[in-house]
Amino acid sequence: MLSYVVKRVLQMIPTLFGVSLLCFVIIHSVPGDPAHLIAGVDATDEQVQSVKEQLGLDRPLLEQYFSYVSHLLRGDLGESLQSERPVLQEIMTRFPNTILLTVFSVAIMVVVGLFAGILSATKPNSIRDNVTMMFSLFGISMPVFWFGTMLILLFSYYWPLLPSGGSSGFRHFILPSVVLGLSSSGVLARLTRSSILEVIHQDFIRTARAKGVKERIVIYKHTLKNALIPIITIIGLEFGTLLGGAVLTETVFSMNGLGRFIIQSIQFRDYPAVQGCILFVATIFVVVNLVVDLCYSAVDPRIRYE
Amino acid sequence: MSKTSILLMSREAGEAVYQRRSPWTLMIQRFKKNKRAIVGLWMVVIFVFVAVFARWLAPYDPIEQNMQSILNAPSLSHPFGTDEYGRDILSRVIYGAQISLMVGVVGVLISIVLGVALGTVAGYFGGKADLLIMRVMDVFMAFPSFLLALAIVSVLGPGMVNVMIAIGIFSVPTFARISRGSVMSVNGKEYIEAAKSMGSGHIRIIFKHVIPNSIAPIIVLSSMRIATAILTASGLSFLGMGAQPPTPELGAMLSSGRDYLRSDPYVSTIPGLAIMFMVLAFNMLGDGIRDALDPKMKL
Amino acid sequence: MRWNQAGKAVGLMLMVLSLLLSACGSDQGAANGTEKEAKGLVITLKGDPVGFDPQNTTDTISSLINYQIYDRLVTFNENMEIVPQLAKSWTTSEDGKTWTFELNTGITFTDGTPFNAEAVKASFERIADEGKNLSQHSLVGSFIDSITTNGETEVVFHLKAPQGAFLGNLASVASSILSPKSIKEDEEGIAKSPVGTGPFKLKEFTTGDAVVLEANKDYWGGAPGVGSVTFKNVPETASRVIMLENGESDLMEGVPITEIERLKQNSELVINPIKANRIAYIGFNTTVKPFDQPAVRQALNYAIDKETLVNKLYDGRVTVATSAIASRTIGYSNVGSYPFDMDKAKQMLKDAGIVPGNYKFRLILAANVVQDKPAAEFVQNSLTQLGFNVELQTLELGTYLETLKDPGKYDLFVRGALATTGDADPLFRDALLSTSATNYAHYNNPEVDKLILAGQAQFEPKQRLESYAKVLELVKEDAPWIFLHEDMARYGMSKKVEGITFLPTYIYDLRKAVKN
Repeated sequence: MLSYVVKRVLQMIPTLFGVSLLCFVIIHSVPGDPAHLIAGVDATDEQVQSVKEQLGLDRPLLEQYFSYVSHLLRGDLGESLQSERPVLQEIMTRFPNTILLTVFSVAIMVVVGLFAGILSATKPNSIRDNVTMMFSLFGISMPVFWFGTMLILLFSYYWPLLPSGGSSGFRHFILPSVVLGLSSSGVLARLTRSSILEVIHQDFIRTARAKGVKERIVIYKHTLKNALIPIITIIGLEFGTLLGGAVLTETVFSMNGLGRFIIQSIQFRDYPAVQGCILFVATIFVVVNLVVDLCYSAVDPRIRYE
Repeated sequence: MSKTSILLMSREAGEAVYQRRSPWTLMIQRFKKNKRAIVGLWMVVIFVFVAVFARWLAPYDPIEQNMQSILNAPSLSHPFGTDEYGRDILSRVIYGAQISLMVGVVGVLISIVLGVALGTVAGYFGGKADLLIMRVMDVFMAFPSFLLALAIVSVLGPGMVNVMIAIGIFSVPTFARISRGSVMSVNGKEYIEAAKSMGSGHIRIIFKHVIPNSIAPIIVLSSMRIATAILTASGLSFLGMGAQPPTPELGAMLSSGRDYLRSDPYVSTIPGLAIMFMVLAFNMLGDGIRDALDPKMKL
Repeated sequence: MRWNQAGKAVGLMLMVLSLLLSACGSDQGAANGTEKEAKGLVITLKGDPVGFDPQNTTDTISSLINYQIYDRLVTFNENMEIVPQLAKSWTTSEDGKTWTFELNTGITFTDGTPFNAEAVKASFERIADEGKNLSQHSLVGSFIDSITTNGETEVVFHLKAPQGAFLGNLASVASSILSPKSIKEDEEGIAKSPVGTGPFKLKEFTTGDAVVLEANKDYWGGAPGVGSVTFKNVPETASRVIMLENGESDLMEGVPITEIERLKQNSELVINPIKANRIAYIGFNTTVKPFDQPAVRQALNYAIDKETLVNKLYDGRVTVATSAIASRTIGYSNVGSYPFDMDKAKQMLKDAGIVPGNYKFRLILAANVVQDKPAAEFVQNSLTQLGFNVELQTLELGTYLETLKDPGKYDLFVRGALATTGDADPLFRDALLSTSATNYAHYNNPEVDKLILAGQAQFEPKQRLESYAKVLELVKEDAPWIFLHEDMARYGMSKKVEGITFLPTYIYDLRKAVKN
């Protein structure tokens, strides 16, 4: 078990190294020079050049990358070109917002998705099943930026219950979390349904039923428990997707989160900030995947890691 | 990892036993029994029809401005109203469907070509090629997918062609994984070994035996990836990184309509609905094909 | 699990949702209470400031915030007339090269440093220093030869050449007086921790979220009427409007034109459009064919129906530009606009031997200048009607600026001419002088160059006006731009707020602001 964890962690390193390289290459090939933006609209070429020298942007790319990585290994993500503050600090001021949004969304997704999945699976091919599954499909197919816009229209304007934007209090998180949570609950609902349907026909469930165990207990205790593995997988994956995919939601709701920060940084050609954020998000994504894999053995003792 | 590949994990259970027939007849039979799939198919057919015949179906020019009819509410002459430049929203949605469909299909075609090529090479040859290719794919997978598309578009610059390329690249890892998996599953089979022993070249084997056997999951994945591609492309345009004005792209229409959200809600509501139904159509079709091809398909 | 109808299943899903929603509904009152208890002003902005160093920032948001943190020797009143601020009075020598300012006394910076002639000197010597590469150097610093002091309260500017617009430049945010202590001890840090003599101090800046200023209770001009000002970064226009309507914010600029009528019905809001010192124009890249021919440029000016543009697209909230600068700018004279005449435009193109179908133009627009997007699309549409192919490219500011550096990459560009100092001089030198690096039209008329430089050195207002009138005539004739419209700043404000002075430069003064 421990050696498995160690192995997985070691495997993460080349992946994250690759992410940093890919990210570096992409962001440095974006046309537009941050030196222009820093020096100001009316700066002369000389001024731009001196800004470049100050920031080390005049050095060869390879050299810049190695210096970036060597700082990275010392835990230094560099300084944002835009705010001149450490990137890590910039990330940390926004990360709470993004992680809260993600956690709330996952919570909504789990509650709604599991519930809808069970509703469907307990009476397969009924109207109930069909309607629930149609709703799930709608959830999956809805563009989040449109869903968000519609919720703003309904709950901030026509029925002004909730703020339309910002991230300064719990109330600000409700609409965006509902948007992200509901749209991904469709995926979970479908998966829950099919996982339950798969195990429900297996022998031990039949045995339980034959023994006169109540239907509800059969569903909750036996079926669901055995359907948990794919469900955990999807929760983990969605966690990662939501984390990175909050870009649009944060934009629609003017939230000060990582997603919007990445967009701002791309627009400003804030190289260190973009690299830092993406590496950060990718690391979390990879770690969450590891945790998900480890959860398998907790759920199903038959799964062992060497 | 994206939603679609997860979608593919869910599947219908408890299938009836069918009589022995050709696999295609079987498939069509199963497909016909699935009401949702049929609805999806019809919706896709309608969207394709609208896209192909947009020029004749659209009542107005989608681009030409008409300053006499700015932000008109829906009426008989403009069933969906007009936008902030007096353009007919119905006509723009019709052309928008054309653009979205094209982005979806072309983008996914790009990723099929690249993804299948990479996946097949990795799966067929194995060893170092496999390791290298799949490592690179892992890196792409660890990159939040929407951000990857966004970053590629920032590099290439805005515009629909660049969006197609970005969408193409961002789906490559998914296709590579799937085709690698199915190639590996047939790789050890007798007929491949037989072909090898008969002296067929690698390329011949790959095209005659390996790729045809991995086509089923690719078809299913394609339909679902088109749905994702449409969503992603409209998301990019929504952020202003995709289609440029006056292109009637649905995401861009929705985005600019938000300024008139209160006074003229239909300007952004209708393009949003159009996106949703297109994506829905391809998801339903993809579901249906998967269930019909192989209800136990695991991707 | 006894429900059998699908309706109930859906019902339950909705119930979960509505429970969540009602949970927050009940929470609303409490949250609102805390948000409003500190009698502070909340203002929503489109973005973050670049920094708090007024000598090294050029963006409007930074200028707006720095306007509240720093004072200047002189300032503008709402008619853009120059009035005393830190300086009590001033005199100028006959040759216009020496300016003497008598300063107010008893003023301290928020770090405790006393304000005196030395402080003024230190501040201006910093911006005059070419080696420091400050972005506002060319506007304010480049004319200063030396600065001397005469005791504590008198400061003398010696200019390299007489300068007509000198006072206007001193009133601009770029001429803010910085604490000499901050310059000496932590020059780099000015951008993050500004120290001025102004009515507000920076309390907190969270990038992407908000800038919070707190009142400087010891402000020499009297403590401000609000305890704090929060500038919230809300990029979405729709959200800014909703926040204004919900009372989450007190003030916003850029109320969408289509929303003005509706918001006017709201009894708690005031909609306050201010004529801005800015005209929007489309610049020609005069180095490329066919824009090297003045006749073609004039023809395109005739082809744009500016009346329809301002009345329909901007709902009559802006006015047609009548010269290359806005009407409230010093130096303005009405030289008239090109009337809309499609036939004439076509004829002129024909005479010039131009077949529109043979040309494909790239029209570039900076993505952050949302107010010009409708105009850009309108011009694109009009030129398309003439038969040209026009591709509109909306570029991020960085890409836009880089594109403009390379004349091979654009044919037409959307830009605005905003007179931040209230005077035509910086605008002319920036966009029309043939030697300017930011003359993106690459307009080159030696006669115009001569007049611009002459106007710069003239400090007799009448003389200057004459020079500038000639410049405007010539520029209209040469048509390096398609002149579009004079802009309007559209403020939406809560009725509870009073006392804000709005300037035509998208900047407003919160010194006397009160919130009831």
